[in-house]
Amino acid sequence: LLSDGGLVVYFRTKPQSFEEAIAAGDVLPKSQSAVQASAASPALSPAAPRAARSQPAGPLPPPPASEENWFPEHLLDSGEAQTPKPKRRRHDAVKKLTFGLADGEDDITPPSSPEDYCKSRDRRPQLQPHNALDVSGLAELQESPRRDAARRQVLRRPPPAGDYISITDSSGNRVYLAMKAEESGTVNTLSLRNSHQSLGLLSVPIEQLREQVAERRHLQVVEESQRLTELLNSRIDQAFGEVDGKETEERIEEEEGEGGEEHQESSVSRLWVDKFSPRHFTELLSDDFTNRCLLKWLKLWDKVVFGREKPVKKAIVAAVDSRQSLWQQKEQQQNQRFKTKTQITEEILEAELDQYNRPKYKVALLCGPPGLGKTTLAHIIARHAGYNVVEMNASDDRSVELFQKRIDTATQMKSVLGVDEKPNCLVIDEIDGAPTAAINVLLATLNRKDTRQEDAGSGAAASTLKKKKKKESVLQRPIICICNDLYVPALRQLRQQAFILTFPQTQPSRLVQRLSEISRRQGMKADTGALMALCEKTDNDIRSCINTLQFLHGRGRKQVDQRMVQSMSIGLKDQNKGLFSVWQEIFQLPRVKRKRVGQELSLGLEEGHLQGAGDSVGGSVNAQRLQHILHLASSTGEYEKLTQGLYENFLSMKLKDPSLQGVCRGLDWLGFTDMLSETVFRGQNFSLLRYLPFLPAAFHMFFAANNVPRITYPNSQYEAQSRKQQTENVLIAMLAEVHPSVRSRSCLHTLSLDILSLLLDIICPRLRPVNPQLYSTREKQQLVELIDTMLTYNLTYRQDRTPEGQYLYVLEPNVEGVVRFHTLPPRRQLTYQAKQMIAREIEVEKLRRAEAMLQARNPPQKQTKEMEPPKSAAPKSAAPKPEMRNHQQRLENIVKQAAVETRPELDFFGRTVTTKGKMVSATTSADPAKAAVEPQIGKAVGSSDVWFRFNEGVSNAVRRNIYIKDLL
Amino acid sequence: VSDCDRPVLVLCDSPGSPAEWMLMELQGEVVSRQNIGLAGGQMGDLHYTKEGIPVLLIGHHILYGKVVKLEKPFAVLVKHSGLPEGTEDDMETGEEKPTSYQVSALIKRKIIFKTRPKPIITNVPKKV
Repeated sequence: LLSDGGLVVYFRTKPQSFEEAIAAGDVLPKSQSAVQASAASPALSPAAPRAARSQPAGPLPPPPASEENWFPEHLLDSGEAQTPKPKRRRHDAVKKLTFGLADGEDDITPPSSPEDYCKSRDRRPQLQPHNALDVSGLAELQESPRRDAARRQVLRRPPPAGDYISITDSSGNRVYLAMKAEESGTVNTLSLRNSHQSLGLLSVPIEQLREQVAERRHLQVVEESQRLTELLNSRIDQAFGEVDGKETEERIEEEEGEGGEEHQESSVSRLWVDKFSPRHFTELLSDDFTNRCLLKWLKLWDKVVFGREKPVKKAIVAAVDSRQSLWQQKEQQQNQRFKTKTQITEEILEAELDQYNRPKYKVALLCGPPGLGKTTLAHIIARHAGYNVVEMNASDDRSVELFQKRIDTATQMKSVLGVDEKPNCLVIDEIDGAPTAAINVLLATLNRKDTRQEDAGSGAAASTLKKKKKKESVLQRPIICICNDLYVPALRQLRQQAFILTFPQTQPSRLVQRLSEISRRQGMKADTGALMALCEKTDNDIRSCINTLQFLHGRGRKQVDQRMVQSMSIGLKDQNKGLFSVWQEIFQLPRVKRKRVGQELSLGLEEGHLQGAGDSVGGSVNAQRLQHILHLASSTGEYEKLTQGLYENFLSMKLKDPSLQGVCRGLDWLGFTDMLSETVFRGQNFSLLRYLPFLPAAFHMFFAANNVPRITYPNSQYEAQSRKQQTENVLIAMLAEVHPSVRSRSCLHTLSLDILSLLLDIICPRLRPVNPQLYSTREKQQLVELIDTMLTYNLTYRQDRTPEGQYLYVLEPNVEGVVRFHTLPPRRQLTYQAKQMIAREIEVEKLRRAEAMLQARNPPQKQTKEMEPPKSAAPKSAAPKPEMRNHQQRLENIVKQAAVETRPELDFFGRTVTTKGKMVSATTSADPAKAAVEPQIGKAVGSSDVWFRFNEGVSNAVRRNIYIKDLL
Repeated sequence: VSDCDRPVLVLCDSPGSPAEWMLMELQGEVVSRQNIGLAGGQMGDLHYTKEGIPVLLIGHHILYGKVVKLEKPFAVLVKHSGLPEGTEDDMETGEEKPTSYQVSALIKRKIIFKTRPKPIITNVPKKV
């Protein structure tokens, strides 16, 4: 585009839109890259185009030295080119985890959608939704010929998808240039292959496979030819045997060489972390205050462990204290009200000892992220204070018994074999991995009370005697616990009883000092800047810093510089983050780390230059993003939850494409992931699991934006699931007692899809809001049908009380929710009275049917009953049935009679009853059995002409005037 | 029982104890099943439990009530007009035989059935 002091912004737009660009740089770099590519070793052939394309398009000649300073990303490439080692190249591809494609392309997108995953390889560039890489503020760009009227690449607004560059022209108009990828298929496929290789989706990269195949063919050809030559030789001459001898010699030499290498490697195998671990208190790298606190706490045990008196250690501590207290007093004046954390810690350390001369807190709990030297600190301080360190790893010894045993062993016994008998100090590492039961054991040990000792008084000799005899003695040895996460639920109890020391970050300056010392001793050249960068990269993790150094050393590098550190993805911790932070990172573009770039460019170029560099590096930035998200997702491991979170949140992101293609693609990806996980979990095909982290990566590429996303926790899956379960239960409950004729044709599916929605309309006929006795015959018929329908489908109404105290009749089982959409208005309901009436009628009908069934079941009895006149009841009841007892018979009779009485009212009791006396006499004369019945159930019951209708309400409300003349 | 100003002669036939009636107050209606009318029919049975609680059986209902003493007792009077029937004019003029009332009964207590009646179920199906 323009060349100003060597800066070139290389756009991937059509060169026609920028004539100057053609003039200045676009032609040149191509030829130059071609030169470079040809200069690169043939082993690097796949990497060569990549390197070429990533070259800044500038008029500069390509001197590697100057280029290093400006474009750190390319150093590695050029470095590779200078020292071509086939083995190392492969390793780089894996370890660096950078897309080969990335260096050349502006963007790395996952394939647009899984369906055209393979197809899209060739046409990927068109589909790429570029993320915004805003490089505004390029002052020089103002003079550029900005507009080529006919071209559509100059946009008034930011393009909906894809990379763009915003430009302000001299008149102050802001326009946007869309960035398009170059369309060169061959390079793409190559780099794509590279990327696949680096992702490790194929266990063996395709190129290697091809090489193997080629090699095998080659071997076959060679063998063939050898055979032929041998055939020839055998016929011609046998003097060529010497040649074979030579070959074998050579082979032996080769083997020896290899053996030597192996030997060398084994000697190196000792970890530097162990080799250079601190030996003394003064060598510790961790925070001084923390170190001191732990030591002081450990010293508090001196009285009970060593029997030393307080003043002895007071003298030591006092010196430290006096200095500190002076400094602290100043601070205290400033903030008198609040105790700082430091002060609280100090107070704990100066607190009184308890009755057994132990400090108040029996356990020290060191917590902090890995690699800060917690374990080292614990060991060194314990040794420093004169203890014998017994270490146990809580995450290894998981069983409670073992835990108990080891704690007891460590705290109550003493090594007798050693030269000097030191008391033990128990160091429990990774206690956050221990189960709760084990921690309870530890707590029980801490809180163990020595009851007998109290009774006997505090005789030293006596107590020691008892200690030997009793298994359960009071804890008398310090315990140091180490954890990474202080807030693990299992540690809750322990947290309250422990002296908690949180590790601050190691100071980078100290760490760098140590690192440089180590590298000096190992003969590595490392400048401070590089080591600083290493510290920053590893978050001041001592262990991973040293390991990284050793790794580099082991790979034969005697020199470490900044760029190497930056481009390395080793030394990164396999730390998993919380789900929310993962989601956030997926939906948010990473901040451009200008500061770091600035550090790298030690020459101190201007900001604009930086951005130019950033632009050309943009492609690799994208690749890094992809790699980062992949790594993040795979380290999280909870794909299910992760996917759900993405699914629920991706629509609330700011989508910049009006045609919603991104959403479509996102949904395609979701579908693909669903299929994938189904295949994985149904068929136990776990090799497919490695494709799962690509969904977050795809989403990141599609939807990541600059603003901070608002993530909500995914609930809808759970809600939908529980709702489905609920609905199914309702339907099953309904189906359980549905009439067989209906049951035979309906299942859950048909019920919910076809039947219910209509049925609910059917069972809501228009009923006049009057007493059902006033219904016309047609209405009565309608009601009967309604009740029949509801009974057939096992539906009824149930009275329900709302929380507000209102009474409602609801459908039972309540299938209304099954076929109702939330957004639609509720369907028409019957009135309360109507429902009440229906419910009652249903009950009545049920009873009626049950009765009918009962009668249908024993019809012969009924018939005899009807046939017999009531007068013959007496002989019948007296009829000899020897096996049946008398009272049983009578009871049966009563029930039978009563059942029959309700039916044939007229022929038996139908006449109007005149007087009680007559009635009694009539019945007594009628039959003795009846007489026996009547005192029990009342003679008028069920058969009398008069009946009583109760009026609800208070008696006052229904009071009625009655005249006395009516009564007389 | 005096709702007018004039003194009223009240006679008592059987000296000492006129018959005592009881009011029965039902919360509800007594209905004839066949619409024959209640007249002359038997309403139901009134019993007393051992504790003296009245129990009324009407139809298939059983009602538990209680006996309450009326605040204002009633007397049931039967009017005996001294005049020959049909001549109403003489009612005011001729007073040779004054109108008299005969106490046929006193009502001092009443039985109130105000609780909801309980059904008497005689026909219990074995299986509903």
